[in-house]
Amino acid sequence: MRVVGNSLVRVDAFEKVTGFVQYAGDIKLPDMLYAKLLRSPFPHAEIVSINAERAERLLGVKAIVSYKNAPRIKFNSSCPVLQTVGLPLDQLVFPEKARFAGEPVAAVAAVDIDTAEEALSMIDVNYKPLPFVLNADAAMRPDAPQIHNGHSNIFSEISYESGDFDKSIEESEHVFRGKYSTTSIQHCALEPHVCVSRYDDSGKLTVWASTQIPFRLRTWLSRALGLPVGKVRIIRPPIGGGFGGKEEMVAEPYSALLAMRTRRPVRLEYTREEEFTAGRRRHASTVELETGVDKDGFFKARGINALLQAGGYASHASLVLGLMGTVFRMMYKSQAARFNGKCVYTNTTPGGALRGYGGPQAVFPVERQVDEICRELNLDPLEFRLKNSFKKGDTDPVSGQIITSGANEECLFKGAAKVGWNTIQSRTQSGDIRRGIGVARYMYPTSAKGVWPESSEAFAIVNEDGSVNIVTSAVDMGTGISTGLVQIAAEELRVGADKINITLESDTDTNPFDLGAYASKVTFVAGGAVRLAAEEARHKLLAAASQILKVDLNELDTREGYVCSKLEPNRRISFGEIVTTFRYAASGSTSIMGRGFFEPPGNAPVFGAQFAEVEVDCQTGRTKVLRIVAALDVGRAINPANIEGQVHGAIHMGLGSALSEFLSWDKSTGKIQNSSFLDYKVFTAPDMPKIDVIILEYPDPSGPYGAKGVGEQATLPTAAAVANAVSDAVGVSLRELPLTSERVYRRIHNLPEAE
Amino acid sequence: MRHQVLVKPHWTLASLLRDILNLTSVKVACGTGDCGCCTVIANGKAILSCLTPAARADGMEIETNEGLRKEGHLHPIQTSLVQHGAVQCGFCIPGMVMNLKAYLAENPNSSEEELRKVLGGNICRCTGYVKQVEALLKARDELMSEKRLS
Repeated sequence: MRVVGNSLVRVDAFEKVTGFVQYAGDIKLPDMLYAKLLRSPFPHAEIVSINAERAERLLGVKAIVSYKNAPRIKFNSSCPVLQTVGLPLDQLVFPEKARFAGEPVAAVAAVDIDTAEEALSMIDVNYKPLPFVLNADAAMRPDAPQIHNGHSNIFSEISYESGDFDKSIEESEHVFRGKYSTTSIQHCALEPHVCVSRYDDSGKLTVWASTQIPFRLRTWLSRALGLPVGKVRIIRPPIGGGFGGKEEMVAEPYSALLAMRTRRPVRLEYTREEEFTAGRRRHASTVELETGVDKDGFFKARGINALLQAGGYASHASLVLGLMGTVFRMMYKSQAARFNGKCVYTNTTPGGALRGYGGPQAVFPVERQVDEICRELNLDPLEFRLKNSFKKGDTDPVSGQIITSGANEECLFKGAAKVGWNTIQSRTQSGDIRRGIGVARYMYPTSAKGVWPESSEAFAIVNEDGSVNIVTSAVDMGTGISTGLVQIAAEELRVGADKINITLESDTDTNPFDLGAYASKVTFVAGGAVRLAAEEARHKLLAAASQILKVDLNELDTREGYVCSKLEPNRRISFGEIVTTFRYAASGSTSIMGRGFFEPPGNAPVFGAQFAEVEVDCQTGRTKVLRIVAALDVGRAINPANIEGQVHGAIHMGLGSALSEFLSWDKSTGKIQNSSFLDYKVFTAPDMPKIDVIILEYPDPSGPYGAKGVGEQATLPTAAAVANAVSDAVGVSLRELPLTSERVYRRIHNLPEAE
Repeated sequence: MRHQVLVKPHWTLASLLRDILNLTSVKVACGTGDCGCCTVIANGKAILSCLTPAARADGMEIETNEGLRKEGHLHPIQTSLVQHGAVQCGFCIPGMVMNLKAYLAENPNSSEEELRKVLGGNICRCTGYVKQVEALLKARDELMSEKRLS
């Protein structure tokens, strides 16, 4: 490997560090209007009437849309791949009934933001407030208000069993039961949802959108607006962070509708408050585990009942629940396993895709309970984990998929050595300040292969100067994927990375098809396509050079931008010369272009382990994380620095979910109470512990050069590792997130949970 | 560069810079002074332009990332952020650069702890600040040696 494996400086770093890069919100088109959304103040209310006449008369207001004059075509804002069943189409651009506080009920386009905001206050809406429910348990009661008329609030149920669960529980030496819960965190991408729409006289709608899924957005935006797919063009400029929140159609229909109505470009940008109240969030979960262990310390039965608080609309929920089941199942082997899960409508902001997609909701209860089991049975937590975990070559009993790679043992032992597991384990505990250490394992697949078809296409076009343009719709939401793809192309073509140009934007009119950036799959899937495209371009260069040099194809090789004879290295021709010769040939002219289409054979599971060392103040319940050690098997590290960056960011989010981040709804109004960065606490630089990242490379046969996903994986175990460490420090088991000072204090001092 | 702009009383400096003067390196990610993305340097001090009334900037010297670019080469903080892989989505970076540039100009000998504290004014959701702290320590040393040479 020459280029792959190096921590190449990111191709987009310079224009980002100077502020030169143009995000969607920086786009200003001539005659552009500004949009604002009127939002329901009630979590559940019929919209009896809307009167916008006063607002329409305000100088500078150009259009107002609401349910009265918008298309009424149902969609699902997660923009599912069409073949996928099980996701309800339960949303309209504007509903006749608001299902969460903050749901858009009307949209205004005006000459500036001030006018648009003033117009909002002049729209008269007559609401009929309805009883509402905020949590999944309450929404399942028979007397609960029905959120989607004619449908049960339980809109998705997934169940499976392998082996005979009840019998295995009966035969188990020890049975453990426990109830655990995780909470809703928000993506907090610094760039909010933002888009600019333009509708031209030919009837074409162009939307510059901060989206992780340009092609899926095109499909569903065209559907929701009743336009042919070919009349919708999505351009995806560089994204200021996504984390799953932009794997969703959120702002686009409103700006598009207003652009169509006014025939002027319209920009719509969410405020931070709107991000919190009407963006998306991680699904809060409640989980009951029932686990049987035999006398030799092996799992005999593993059962889970899972409940997801989905919010007012289904969005991704059913698939999040499905992946929660997969992660649960693939964490540990067992004679029998049973999964029962439900997604429940509630009158809260819809949950969506958020880094981990059900994984953190599975890992937290499982890894907490493993520690409880080890403590109760006096077993070594590392050994117990290792002997029960899936390994390379094992088969998933439900899907039948064989695990093609993985390094559980190394992740656990290298991580343990780094953190000093054995020395810390033998410490004594007394006084007000207690130290604890915890570990958590995880498994997470790469790509959604197995759930829906995965593929990506890329072109490698060789230029007259020997440089190569990589054309792909792979979305870099800040992860560094564009740099990784450049490295893959350079490796394949055997040229320096400086010879590769890559599109930093996606354009559904000009770039080949790609399903988007989600499921930690871009290196894996789009990387596969880029590799094949570059490989084909290289073959074409060799074949062309063979004609020009009159040297047998087998005698030729590529080296640093030249095709040369292996026997006589001086017989050579540059890529640029080949392209010039063929492109401008008197007859039979042709381009030198490679096309790559890649469909991964499997979903290359990633295994990893994380260790947390904490300090808990028993007088206040305050937890300070001192250190995190993260070990994961990435298959092949295309760009180690970028991988470290992904792991650091994932841990940052995991720490927030462990200790400080949670959305809080006011029980009397149904509104989110902490909709600002002042009230919703993400970790800042002084809060961060020391982090060590251990990258292990066990190539998977399906990814480019063996690479697997790394974007989400490391966020799965952080909260569990921290909770295990806190439980270790204070000697009581904590089963609910987040571990706020109050919650920990109450558990230490045996006080009841706060209301 | 001098600008003469008639502003409305409720305009923020951020909207003046972004919307009127097209200095789009200035980012607004919260509008409530919590995240630091809109940080610019006003008469040598880092300020949050989303909380500053535009009229307050009357007669002030305001420095944004565009100003750094005009000098033709990257500032050592920028170079270091690039080289350390400390830039991911990039949205928080311009404000971070301005915040730390102003701070290091006045506090060239800052400790890691002090730099972390100052960086605490810039929320980043991508990096966990790990590589950013590394980059800032390097930039601090770089600036110190530049100073010694000159």
